[in-house]
Amino acid sequence: MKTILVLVLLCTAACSGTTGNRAVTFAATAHGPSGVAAPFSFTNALGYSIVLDHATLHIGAVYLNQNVPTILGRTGCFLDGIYTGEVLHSLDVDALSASPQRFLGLGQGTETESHTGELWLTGGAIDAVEDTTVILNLTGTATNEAAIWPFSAQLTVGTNRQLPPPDAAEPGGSPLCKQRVVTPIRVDLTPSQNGTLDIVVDPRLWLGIVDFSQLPSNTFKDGTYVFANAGTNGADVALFDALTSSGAYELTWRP
Amino acid sequence: MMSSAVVRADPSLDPSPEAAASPEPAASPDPVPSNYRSTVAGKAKPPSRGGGDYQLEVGALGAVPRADAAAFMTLAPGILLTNEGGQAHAEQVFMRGFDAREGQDIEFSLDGVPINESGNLHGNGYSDLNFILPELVQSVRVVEGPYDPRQGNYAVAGSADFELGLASRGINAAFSYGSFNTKRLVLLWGPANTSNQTFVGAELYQTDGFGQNRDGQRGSLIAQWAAHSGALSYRITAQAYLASFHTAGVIRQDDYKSGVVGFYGTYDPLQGEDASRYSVSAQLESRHDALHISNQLYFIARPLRVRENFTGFLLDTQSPIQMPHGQRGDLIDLNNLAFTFGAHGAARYSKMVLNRLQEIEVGYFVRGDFVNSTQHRIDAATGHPYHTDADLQSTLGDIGLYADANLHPFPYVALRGGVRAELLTFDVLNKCAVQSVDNPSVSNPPGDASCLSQGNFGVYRDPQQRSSAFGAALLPRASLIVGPLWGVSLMASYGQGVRSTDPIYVTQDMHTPFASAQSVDAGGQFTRAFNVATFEVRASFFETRVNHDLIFSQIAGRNILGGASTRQGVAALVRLVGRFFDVAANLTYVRAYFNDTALLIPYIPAWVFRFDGALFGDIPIRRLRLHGRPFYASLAAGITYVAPRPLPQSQTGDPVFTIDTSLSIRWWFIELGLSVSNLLDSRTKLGQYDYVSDFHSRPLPTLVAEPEFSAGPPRTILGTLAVHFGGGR
Repeated sequence: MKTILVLVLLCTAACSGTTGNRAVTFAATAHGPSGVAAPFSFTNALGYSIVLDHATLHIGAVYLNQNVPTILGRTGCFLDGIYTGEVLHSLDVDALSASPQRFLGLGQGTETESHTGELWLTGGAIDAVEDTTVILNLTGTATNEAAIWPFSAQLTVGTNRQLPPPDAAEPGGSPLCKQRVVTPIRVDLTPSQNGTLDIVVDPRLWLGIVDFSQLPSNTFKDGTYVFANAGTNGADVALFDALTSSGAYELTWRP
Repeated sequence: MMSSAVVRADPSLDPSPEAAASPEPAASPDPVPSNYRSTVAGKAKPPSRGGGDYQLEVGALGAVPRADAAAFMTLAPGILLTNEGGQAHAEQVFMRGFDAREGQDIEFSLDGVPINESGNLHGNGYSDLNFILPELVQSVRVVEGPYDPRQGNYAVAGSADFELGLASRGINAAFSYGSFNTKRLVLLWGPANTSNQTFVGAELYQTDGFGQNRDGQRGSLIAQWAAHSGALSYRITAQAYLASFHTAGVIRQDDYKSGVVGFYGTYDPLQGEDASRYSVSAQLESRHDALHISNQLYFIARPLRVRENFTGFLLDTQSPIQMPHGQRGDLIDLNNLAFTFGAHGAARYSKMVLNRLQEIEVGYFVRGDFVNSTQHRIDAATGHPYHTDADLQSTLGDIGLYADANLHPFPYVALRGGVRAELLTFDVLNKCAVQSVDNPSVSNPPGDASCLSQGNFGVYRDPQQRSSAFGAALLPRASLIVGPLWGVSLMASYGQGVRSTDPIYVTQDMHTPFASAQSVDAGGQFTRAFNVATFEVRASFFETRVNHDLIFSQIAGRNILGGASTRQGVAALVRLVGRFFDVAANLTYVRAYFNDTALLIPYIPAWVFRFDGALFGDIPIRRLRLHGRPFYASLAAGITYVAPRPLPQSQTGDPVFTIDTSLSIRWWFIELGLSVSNLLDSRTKLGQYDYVSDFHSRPLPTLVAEPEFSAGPPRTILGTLAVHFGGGR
């Protein structure tokens, strides 16, 4: 009887197998580029010498997806492929610190090769009409041969970022959620149990093609040029476009 | 009092001509004053097809508490019943490694009348057995595997044919009341001097349901008249069924663990189901010397409305052509109205050759289904439909012809089998064939309409599109049975089965039927009648290969296509029937996997165990008599164990372990009963799933798959008062 029981138990273990793609939980961290510290000096592509005193980014959530979207303009708020990981906790990342800053909760996912990452820059529902959460908070000084621009930016994503539909036939062609999701960030990783999803945020790229001379003089208050947070001038548009483009972010996996 | 033979004797296992020529078991006296009593067979049974062919008399085991008639199937090995949609929803049936969903892989019938609903949008072959009164179920023939040429469409995992009968004659009335304000009234009438197959049965049922959003009511009536005149016998059956229940749906495991929603809670109180079924059938059988001819005609009308929300707020993604919107909710409102006409019949010729009975049978099966089905998405805020997922008008045809031989070339050897040819036709009018357009007209934008009338650049096209297809299959089936020698029989079977495709997948001139299965079975059986009991034990090994599996997608709200798969395993059954007891147990192990990856098929339990037992008889104490009449008691129990099921992402579900029990005492014409289901009050995750859903339980969408479950009922106590008039005893 005992032998039969042992055989049954062995068979239960050995014959059963798995359904594949193990479910995993993992940690997530975010930080600035290696060696960064405040104040952080660099020169952007337009020749401005920039000193960043403060740079924080609010990340509402992080997602990983198995697929790479082929026609991004056609996707809605979600990608078509299978989501392989998610971190449903927000974090205000100090981009001027190279020390990993941990999201307050664990992420979950599946042990599946992932090729796209998404950063959701939101403080609430992804399709909410208004969201007053400051996504990007910057202060610093930009200098070129001509002038000095002390600046600050507190960017939000609400109706201030709503784009008009591409044409009358596609009234839903520019949903607000697309302004809040940084996608597709190319990744090549497979989540594993107890691993860490590491996000590098590079503030240099946010300001990479910002022409500070386009900041209107009427935004100069209390000795600082304030980004309009409305896409009404070239500098603001360049900053917001860089903020929501995938180039400023790198997602890697630490087992 | 003697219980009737509960494992129906297979006459062919006795090679004598006398046994083979008299396939009808003799009628037995009524032994069990139970609500579920039904014992006496009344018509010939087809010969056994081997180790996977279970011809099960309910007998005294009818006293074991069962939620519905489908639960009688668990007397056969490898059966697990779950339910995602409540008491008006078809049971999800797992059979020997198949997730047959609500009927896609099992051919269900009631006294030969098909139950599978061809073209049902929720699942092709959807089989709702809730209209069958458990009290009227006399026996169930469960064939696990496609081994009998009589098995037609959907018999991929196998088939189940329920036979009705009412052993307790006279008038029987029972009223039950119990947990969750459940009330049930059952009236049964078996006119005197008629066979068990003549009866009227009616049920009214109402409950508040356990937990949240499980209230509902149903009514069912089945009337049957059977008679014979000389060599002719007739049977006419009429049936009507109405049900309306709310449904709790599924619960995310993480939400339950974090206290967002209770174990018996619900996310969406708009879920529910309204089901009805009306049918009439007539059967005529005649015997002319060695020729036995039978024909049956039937008509079925079946309206069904299902409202289910599996995913919360996930699927309403913004399309560029739609006006801007958020997630409006994923509640599905599925409507299906089907009319089915059909007939089937057979002619069997018997002749003594080699001093043994040899039989040849040819038969036909004809069925037409006319189905209208729609599926809409409902706005959670307003309750209004906002999108049409599907709008189909389907005309489906099925003609099957078979030839079957039952040969005894040598003593103790039976060779059975033949071939079945199945022709399936599909004519599907898709009234919502265009749902998106890449380059819409700027001057005539499609807007939020679901069914579009334009193609690229606004070129007009009709939103309707018709597709027709047909397919044929030739299905060989054979069984070899050697024995019984000293009570031992050895059996081997081979067969092929088919499942027709879901109309939503029909494209012009596609190859159908869509899926086919090959199955083999080998095993042995020992049967012996002792002085005190009849004993049967049987075991068989099986393997089934399917070329296209159907997997239910909670995202789509219906079955979607899967890959090729294999099931291998072993099933065993024991039954012991005595003068005052009836005990049955079965155990199944199966490994079900996809052929390309060797990964397990999710949700299929590897181990399923079921025990049914009943003690019954007059209480043998002379003092316990009233007016000289004894007290008759019945004590019954059923135990189910299901090993943890593999879930997607290499997770495993929770095991299922439940004990159901009942006690009844009858004196003369009065009977009192008490049944307790889920005696241990265990929190059973009856249906277990794993998929993506977002019920707004977090600030941001949950887009990674998460285990979900539908809760099984907690401990449920029902008391019953029954009276019996005019039936003797």
